Amino acid sequence: MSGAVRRIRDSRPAYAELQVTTNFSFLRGASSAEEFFATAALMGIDALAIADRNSLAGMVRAHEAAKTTGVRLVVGCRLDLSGNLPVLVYPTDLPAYSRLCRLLSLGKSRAGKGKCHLAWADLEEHRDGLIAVLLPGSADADCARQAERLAATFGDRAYLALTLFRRPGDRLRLHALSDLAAKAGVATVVTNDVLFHEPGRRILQDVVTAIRHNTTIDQLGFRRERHADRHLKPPQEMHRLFARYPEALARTVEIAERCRFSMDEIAYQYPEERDDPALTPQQTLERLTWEGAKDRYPDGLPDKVRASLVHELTLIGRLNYAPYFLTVNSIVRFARSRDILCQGRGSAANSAVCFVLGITAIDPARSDLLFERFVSEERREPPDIDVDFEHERREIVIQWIFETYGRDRAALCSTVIRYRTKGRCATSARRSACRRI
Amino acid sequence: MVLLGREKNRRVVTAADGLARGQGLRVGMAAARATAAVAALEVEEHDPAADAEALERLALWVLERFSPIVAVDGTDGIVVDSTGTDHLHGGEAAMLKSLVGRFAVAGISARAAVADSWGAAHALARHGAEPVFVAPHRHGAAILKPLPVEALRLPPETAEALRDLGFSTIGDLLNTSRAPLALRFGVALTRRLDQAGGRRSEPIEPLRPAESITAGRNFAEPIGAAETIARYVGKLVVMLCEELQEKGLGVRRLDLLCRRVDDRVEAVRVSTARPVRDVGRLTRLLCDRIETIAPGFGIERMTLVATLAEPLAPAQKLAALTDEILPDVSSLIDVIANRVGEERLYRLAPVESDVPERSMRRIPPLAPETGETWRPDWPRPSRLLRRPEPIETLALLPDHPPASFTWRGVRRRVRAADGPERIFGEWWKRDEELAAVRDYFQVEAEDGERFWIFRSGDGEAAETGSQRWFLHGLFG
Repeated sequence: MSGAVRRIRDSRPAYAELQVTTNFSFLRGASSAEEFFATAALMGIDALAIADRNSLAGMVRAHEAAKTTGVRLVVGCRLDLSGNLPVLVYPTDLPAYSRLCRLLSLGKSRAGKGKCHLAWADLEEHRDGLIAVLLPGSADADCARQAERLAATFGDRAYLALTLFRRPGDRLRLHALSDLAAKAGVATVVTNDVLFHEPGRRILQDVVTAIRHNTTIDQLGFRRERHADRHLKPPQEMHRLFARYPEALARTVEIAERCRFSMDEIAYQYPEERDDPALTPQQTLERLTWEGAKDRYPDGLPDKVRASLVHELTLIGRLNYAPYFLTVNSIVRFARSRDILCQGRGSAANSAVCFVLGITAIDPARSDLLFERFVSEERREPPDIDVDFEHERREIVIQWIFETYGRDRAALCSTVIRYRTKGRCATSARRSACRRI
Repeated sequence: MVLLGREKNRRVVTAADGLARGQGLRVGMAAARATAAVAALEVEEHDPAADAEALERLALWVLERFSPIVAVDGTDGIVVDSTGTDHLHGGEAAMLKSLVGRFAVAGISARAAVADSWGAAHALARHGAEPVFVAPHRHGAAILKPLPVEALRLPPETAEALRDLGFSTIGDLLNTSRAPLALRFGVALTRRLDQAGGRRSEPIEPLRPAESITAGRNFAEPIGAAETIARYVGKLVVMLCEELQEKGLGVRRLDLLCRRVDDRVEAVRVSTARPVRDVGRLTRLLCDRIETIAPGFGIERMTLVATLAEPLAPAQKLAALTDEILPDVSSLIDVIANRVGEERLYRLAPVESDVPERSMRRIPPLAPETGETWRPDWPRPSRLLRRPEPIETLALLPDHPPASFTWRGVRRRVRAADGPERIFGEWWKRDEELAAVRDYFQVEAEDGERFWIFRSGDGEAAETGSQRWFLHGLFG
């Protein structure tokens, strides 16, 4: 099956789209990663690079969509630098990806909610392993200077993007940019600056632009995305549009090849939780488990419970989840030491280990617990232990976590609310200045 | 709601609104009967003095905005002599519609008619079939035939007597011989008939605002020659400007009223964009219009009225001696506007729209700078055709400019071209523009002329347009 697909792909011109903005660039992108990858698979595009603005938030969904559809994902990000032209960056390996994450965290911690302040100096500091593509406007002296600086900083990892805006004088602009890049020693590469996956989405894009500017669609004027077709185009179309720049087209695939970093390479790195450094995390967990069992069953450990504990500990050991349990245990122990009410809930209640550690309260001696609901070897997902804390004093726990693990390594996760139809209609109606029925 | 008033010794209904009339109440009905017939009847006292005052205020408003000769007509109407001023409002029909519309905005429902004489207009406005009616020029008495006799402004007894004798429409009266009518009803009836038919003149005594500044002059010997009129206009303007100067005012609307020997008043109105006190400018504006005055047997009184005056404070023209004086085009604008009408003079300002037909709007000539401007680096033709004209072309799809095109029968080969500039329709304005696309090309023909042409559609999908080519503008 895959051999047949590969054969079909070989007969089509090769192209990788390197600038795709998903809806994780809030109120800019109008399509989801799933839609992009599905369309790319149909069109025969080799690889898609997702480059959201100052964010890697969309990568997980993109990664999953890539796996489902068979189109390769190239991890990327568009950095809007202050005082500079924007730059697309693609990490080539895991350390480069870490550097990119640190760069983004730096920018966001400076700027406050929802914003990111990054300057050229920051990018320069974090440049190792990153491929950078400059996004020029017109081919003027400022652009030439920035291209030269890019070449000096990134060497052979520096590129300049050629995008067809379909404005007056566009062909001439591309020609001038091509010359400028040659003079500065920067290679050119073709991008399409994609905002949505099919032409019909353009209307939604206009609506979200109006929402972003907090105005009605009638007053939006030139703040709309005008002129170009910002939808995903098949490789033949890109080759036809850029017939004069075959090397730039070939370089899209070249960059995709160089960036072989995949999100699969990211593994969990747990904090050090051991009181006794001689013991491994698994051994520490086992010791705490048996100690806790003695506390929970002062009259003697029932056989059923013992069997469960052994089974669970073996599974935990095989899957290497011990550090996670130790971390949760530390937090719960701290809370109990301060008499802050806390309780584990959800699928974690199926674990006898959690019960003896004092995280949950369902007694395995009295109920039948199914550990496989909580941790399963087939699923290979890390466990998810939800613990509720007394809400008036939960701030104390949060502060302890920050202090113990460091402010740079602990974070509050936020959820993104997705508009369902009712909310979507309400906001769109406001934007179109029509009455709510 | 009804209004109650006294008629002789009874209290009667003097006016009823639509709802009351729907319930069967009529003007002239006894008050007691009316209040008994309808349960929740709102009753107000008829105050004729207040009504008259309000009507006069309305008439003054019309005087300010529409014509120099305006008067109150009866207790419920206004008569306007619009000779020579209707072109400034876009024609008679447009002027009437605008008038009725402005009244409607203020909550007053009105009917209007334009005709050759006061009598005819009065009759048509009140009894004509349409609420807004423009009679054809030189219509004569024929147009009044279907109207009832009450339309002739006769005393109620005469109208009643006519009805008793079997005359119900004006046509009936016109068909009878005049002598017996005059014998039976007196000359008043025949006079009204002649006035309505236009055979007897009926001069309008123009209303004047109370505190308006005027300058007038009587002539012992009536004058008629254009140069004489012009000379005296000059003198009157000087007098007027002196008075304006004393009060610190400048004139925005100036009326010249010439009363002829036969009591008819000829009027000329000039308006300016900014308050003006300059003798030369005002004289020139007025003298431009002297040929529209028909002196008849002679003018015996000329009055210059400043219908609309606004404060005009002295302003410094130069901040420093080295500054340049900014040119003042308001004088040119006044001259042109008074000749062709104010609405025909405008300036263009840009609108943020991709669609070229919508990318500009009209603003008044002296409006302050909006600060918006068009992009200088994107080529836009200096002449945009009102409607894009279809052309035949030879072009490679989907996005190549044509190699040649034929426009108005002339075939031109294209030497160089730039584009496409892809413009999407404004989907929120019209449903048809949901998927519409226009690809614009700037092409240069072999003889050096440059054109702005477009293809309706993106060359690929059928729903984006008809894929036909059009010429939209010319460069240079």
